[in-house]
Amino acid sequence: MILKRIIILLLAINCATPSRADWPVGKGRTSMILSYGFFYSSKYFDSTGKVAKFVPGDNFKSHTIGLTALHGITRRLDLTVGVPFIMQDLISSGKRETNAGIGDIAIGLSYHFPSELYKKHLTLKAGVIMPAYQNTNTPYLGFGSKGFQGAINYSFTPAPQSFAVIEGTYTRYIDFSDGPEQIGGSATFGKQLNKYSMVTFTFNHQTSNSTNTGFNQNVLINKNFTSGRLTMAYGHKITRTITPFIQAFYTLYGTNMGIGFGGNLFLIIKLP
Amino acid sequence: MRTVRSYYILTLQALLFLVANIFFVEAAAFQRKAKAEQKGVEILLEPDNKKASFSARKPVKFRIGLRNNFSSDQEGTIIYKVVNGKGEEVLTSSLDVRVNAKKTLVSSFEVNVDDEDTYSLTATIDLTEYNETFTRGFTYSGPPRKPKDRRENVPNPYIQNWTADNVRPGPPIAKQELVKEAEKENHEEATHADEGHGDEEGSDEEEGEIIVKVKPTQKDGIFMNGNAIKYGINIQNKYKRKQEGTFTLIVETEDGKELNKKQVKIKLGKRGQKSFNMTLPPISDPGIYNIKAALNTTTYDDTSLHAFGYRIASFGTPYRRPPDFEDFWKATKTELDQIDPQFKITLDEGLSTYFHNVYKVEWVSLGNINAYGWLSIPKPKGKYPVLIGYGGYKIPLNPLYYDDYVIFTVNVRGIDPKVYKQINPENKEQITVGLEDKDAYLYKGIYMDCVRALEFIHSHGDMGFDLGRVIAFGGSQGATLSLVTAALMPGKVNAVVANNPVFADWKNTYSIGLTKRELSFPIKNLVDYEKEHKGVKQEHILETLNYFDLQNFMPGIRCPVLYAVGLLDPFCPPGPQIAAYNKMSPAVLARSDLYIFPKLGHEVPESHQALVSIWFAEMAVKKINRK
Repeated sequence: MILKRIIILLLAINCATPSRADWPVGKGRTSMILSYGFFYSSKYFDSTGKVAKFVPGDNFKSHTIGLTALHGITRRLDLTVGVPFIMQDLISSGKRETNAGIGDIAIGLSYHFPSELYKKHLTLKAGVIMPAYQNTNTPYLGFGSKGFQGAINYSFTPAPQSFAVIEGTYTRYIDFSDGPEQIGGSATFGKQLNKYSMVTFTFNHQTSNSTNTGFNQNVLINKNFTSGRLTMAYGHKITRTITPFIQAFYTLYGTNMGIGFGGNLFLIIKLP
Repeated sequence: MRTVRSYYILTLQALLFLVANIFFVEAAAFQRKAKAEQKGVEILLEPDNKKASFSARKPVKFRIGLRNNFSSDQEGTIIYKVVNGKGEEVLTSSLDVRVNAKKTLVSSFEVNVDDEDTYSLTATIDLTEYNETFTRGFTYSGPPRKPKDRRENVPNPYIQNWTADNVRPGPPIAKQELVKEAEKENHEEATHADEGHGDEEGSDEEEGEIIVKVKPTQKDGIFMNGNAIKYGINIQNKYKRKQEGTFTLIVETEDGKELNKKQVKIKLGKRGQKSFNMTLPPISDPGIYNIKAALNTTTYDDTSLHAFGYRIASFGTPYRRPPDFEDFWKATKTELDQIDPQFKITLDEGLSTYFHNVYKVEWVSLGNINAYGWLSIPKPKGKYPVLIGYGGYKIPLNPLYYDDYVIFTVNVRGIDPKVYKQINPENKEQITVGLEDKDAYLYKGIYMDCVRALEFIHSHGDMGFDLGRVIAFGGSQGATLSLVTAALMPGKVNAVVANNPVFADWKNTYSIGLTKRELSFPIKNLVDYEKEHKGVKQEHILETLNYFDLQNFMPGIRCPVLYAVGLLDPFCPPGPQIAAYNKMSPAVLARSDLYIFPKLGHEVPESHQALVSIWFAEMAVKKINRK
């Protein structure tokens, strides 16, 4: 789940040059995004939204190394492939469990409808989620279910040297009767500080619905939850093709959701 | 206000008339009548706004009425220039006009200014038997306040052409409005004289106009084989009176030969409007065709010019390629090779920024003449694709600053004033320097300056250039220089972006240009040259120009081209431009894109500029191994 949010944000950040938020990658062009993410949680929002602590000493940590590739098939159509490698470390009731492996592979297409002056884009996205693991060892690396996702977003320039993306997503996991079915919305605002530096702020809300209402310290496998997260990122172009980003996020509210902080490092590489 | 005043001093007669008004207001009507009777043509020219105050929401517009009291047709031009508050001339344009005998023409035209200021517009009306100059003032209150008010695709003033009375059959129709307008004008003269200021409040004139919108059903104005040539027409009557008359579409070839026309009768209620489609008779030959859309109603006559293309992919014109064309340019390049370029690269700290280093690059070119360019390199490390930009006719280029590209803007010989004196000591029009000798013609050197600029890029890859990705671009003459350079240096350019190229198919450009009522660049300059050099004929000039004709270079282009043409281009007719495009090889055409803008002249819309940046990126994807 964390990874998926990261990927969605990356899609926005990838093209985050002035007035180019979530624009098409460009016919024949490719962007590679290498990422490292860390998440730590020792508290959670319970089913009523109140903050509760894990048993003292318990916590959940995850490290994620991701590779996402975006390729412009045509001027308007992009292909996106995301592959995460997840390492988890869960201490629950004093017992430590670790697991690592490739998580959910996401493959999707984005189709862009530009405005006449190419300053605004309406984008439709559709993709599939395929788990590259089996949930035989705990902590699980995800739902272990195939799924599909659709999204629609609108990107525009609300002010000079800035961009904004408003996105809505729908995700459905299909292998199990308890889903989940997830609906999310996000708003991203990016501001260029100068020609090569920029900051972005993203607020994301997600609701996951399932008959399985249990809570697990491993935040990747909770199926019935809500969450609201604020993310801030800073990027600086260091060469023509490479732009590193650093990102921090925090869970503001939720139900059945681990409260945690975390950070991500991205390396965006434009090819050619 | 100064400008409103100035038109009172047009002629001694007008001045006396004005003085008379100051002291004898009661006698003014009589004197005006006398004045009108003396005039063969009565003219009304005034802002389409009582206060002569315009803004982006109210674009600058002038109304003009001409009543021809002569018994013969009057035709000619209206040349107007606009001067801003600092006394700088900001716009010059012209309109063709024709008023049949004993008839009246009422129309309007827009004046395209961008900056907040007070302006004066001086219009010289030069007809067959009559000429007069008027000056009017107006203010413009600046750019739009809201995005919705921003207007795009402002019509090019060159496209306006009034010949309304040519298509109105039957006897002259009395134009009460013009009389009313003329009387009001005279009344205002008297008022201004009395009050000593230019406030036009208090007028009780009937304001109105008829807005005619003519749109091809094909958005780009290009009809394919089998397409009906169809236009959507919308006519809005802004007058508080009914209008009745005709609307006519006249189809002409580019050189003004009438092919066919279609006319419908129209009736418009008070402030009413009417929309309808008109399908034109079929056309057999591929090409570009002009359309005159003439509205003739009870109180309003107006003709606007439009154009469309038919089966343009099949449109071709004969080659006029001299037999030794290849040899000539091969020898010229050999001659250039023998000249040491002596590239001199100087960091210009004043033009450099925190993000870009800017260098002035100077070199020696053909004939040991100097040229220079501005090289702008982003500071982050990396090998950058190179954009090489060529400039329009006599237009100096400054550095450009792109984040993802090195940009080299080229200033050919003559842009530097010192070099200009060296190559053109007699200060002739640039396009005519050495016109009678292909070896002396200035453009031989200019083309080689462009070649040398490209050589500079390819010999300085160590400056951070990705030599596998080099794209040339330019507009107008710059488009031509980009294409010619790509042809002369095959394999050295990945792609070319060419907006509104000129100097394409000189023979046809000449033929078409000579049919225009007012000659414009470049044909005007060539005709002037003929007049100044007795014995020099068009054929002599073309003998030289054929060596420099864009169409003759087009088969040599090996890279994709993004090519844009405005169908109302006054400087290079669209037919020759498109015929030149079609002369590229089929393989190159398959990878190239042609964009047509039916309502534009020598320009491209903002949306196309946005597309160009996308196209640059796409063309920079494929790296060409040039080692």
